[in-house]
Amino acid sequence: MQSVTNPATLSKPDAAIQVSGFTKKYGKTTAVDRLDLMIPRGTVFGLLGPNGAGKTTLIRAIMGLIAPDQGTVTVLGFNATERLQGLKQKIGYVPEIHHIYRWMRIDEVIRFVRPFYPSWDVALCDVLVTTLELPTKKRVRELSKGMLAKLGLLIALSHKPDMLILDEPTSGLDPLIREEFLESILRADDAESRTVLFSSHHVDDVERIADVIGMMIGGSLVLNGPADEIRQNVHRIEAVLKDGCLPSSVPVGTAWQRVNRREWLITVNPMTDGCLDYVLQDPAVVSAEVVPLSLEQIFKDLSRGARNGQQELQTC
Amino acid sequence: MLRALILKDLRLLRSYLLIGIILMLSSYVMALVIVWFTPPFDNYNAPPIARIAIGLSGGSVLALLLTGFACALVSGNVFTAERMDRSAHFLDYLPPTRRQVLFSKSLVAVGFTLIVVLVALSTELLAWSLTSYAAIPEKKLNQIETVLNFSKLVLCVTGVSWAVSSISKSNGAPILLGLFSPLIVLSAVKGIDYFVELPDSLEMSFLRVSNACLFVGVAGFALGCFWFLNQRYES
Repeated sequence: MQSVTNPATLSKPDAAIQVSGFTKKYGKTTAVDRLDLMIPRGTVFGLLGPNGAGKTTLIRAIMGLIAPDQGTVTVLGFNATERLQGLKQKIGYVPEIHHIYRWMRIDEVIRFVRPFYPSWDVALCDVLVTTLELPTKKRVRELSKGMLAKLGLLIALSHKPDMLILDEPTSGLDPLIREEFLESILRADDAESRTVLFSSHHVDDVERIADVIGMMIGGSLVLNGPADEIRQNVHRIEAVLKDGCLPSSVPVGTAWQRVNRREWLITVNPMTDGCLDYVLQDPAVVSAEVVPLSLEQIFKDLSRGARNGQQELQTC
Repeated sequence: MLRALILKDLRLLRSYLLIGIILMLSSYVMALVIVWFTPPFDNYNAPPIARIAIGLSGGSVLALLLTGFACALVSGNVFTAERMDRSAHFLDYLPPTRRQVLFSKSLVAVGFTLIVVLVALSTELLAWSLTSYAAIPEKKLNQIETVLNFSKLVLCVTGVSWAVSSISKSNGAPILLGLFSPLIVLSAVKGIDYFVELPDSLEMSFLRVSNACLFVGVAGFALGCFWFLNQRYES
């Protein structure tokens, strides 16, 4: 697999998040491996990846909740590991699992959180309470998962943060609540040009709200760019094999492949002009064509390739 | 910001604080009732004000003994309550710094213990000042030293519970270790006394134990603060 270059033409002051050589290990498992990432200010960045790809580890490092084993994480010009109060006041964070005080009522949560943010907008908070239909007198322990996610979003948005970080916020929500939740994010982001980092394994959610998409697999960033650019770069070659023959080799950049009877599917990243010719030159191939892929298919193929790629390449 | 944190901690530990207040009040009530109606005290044939003085004096020692249990509950839960329901993670990504969180918690937990000690000492002083009205020898009511020594035991309970709570993920160990800490200190001091063959009188021995308890309590509090400030991440 090969990584598409970051939008590295931007100078450092334009970076809202700058991650350089970030590595994090838990025991013998490497959660994130030498990751480089730059998210420009004002960008809505969607971080895609299967479970265990290292998304949450990366986000927790950006939030300063874990320290990198190697590398640096800079957020809005500050070192994230220093956990500065001023930096936290500029970030709105919605975690995947909410641990808000269960004994508090919603209005108590708001009253508790409000003094921590000098930029807290009472009017905006009231509007959000109404729009998100939050029952202010209900205790947190009585809230459904969707309501809890909305409360998390309300806390994250009410202080008008420079940056919004959402770690799989729609995970476990039913489609209706998910829709409402995404609309709230879109509505809030319309008004201000803030940087948003949104992680998910729902491709359609990310595709809907993100300007730039990053795809993490196995602790590495394997794709990074606008959705259209990713679709242009990654293609699938569908080849027909001669009866009883197997292909001898794969083109450079093969992310995933599958041989099923006479059908040979190869997903290539990045797709170059030579790839199709390479496949066609294989003596086992009768015919081949390039097929565009949806973002979801790209995500699935790259994930499968990372999981089973070696094994499948060996069998072929 | 601090106000919000203190109010949250007060609310979080509300039930244990209430237990402490109830135990303290009931100690005085119990002592007064016993003094009022029990024959040995009745035999003094003392005026009511003297009986109140005796009741208050006994009550302050009893209050320290009973409220020590509530101090262990408060200090033992001060960090662990948020770890057990994982709300510590929520607090971790909010803007307050560790120092602010620690300040709020110490104000509630140590503040509660200090209030308990101050109430006991003040009532003892009040009882002592009332002895001028009593028809009994003043020496019998001069228990200020005893109250001071018992206060040191309560500070030991608080300090040890605080220290263990800062490390622990559940509240069982901090509460139990806090409650048993004076006994552990007592055993240690008695052991040392035995080996270095110190001349032993009950009063001196109790003073040594209570001073050791005070030292352990203060050290426990310092250790807990150090641990909490340097343990950067909630796991």
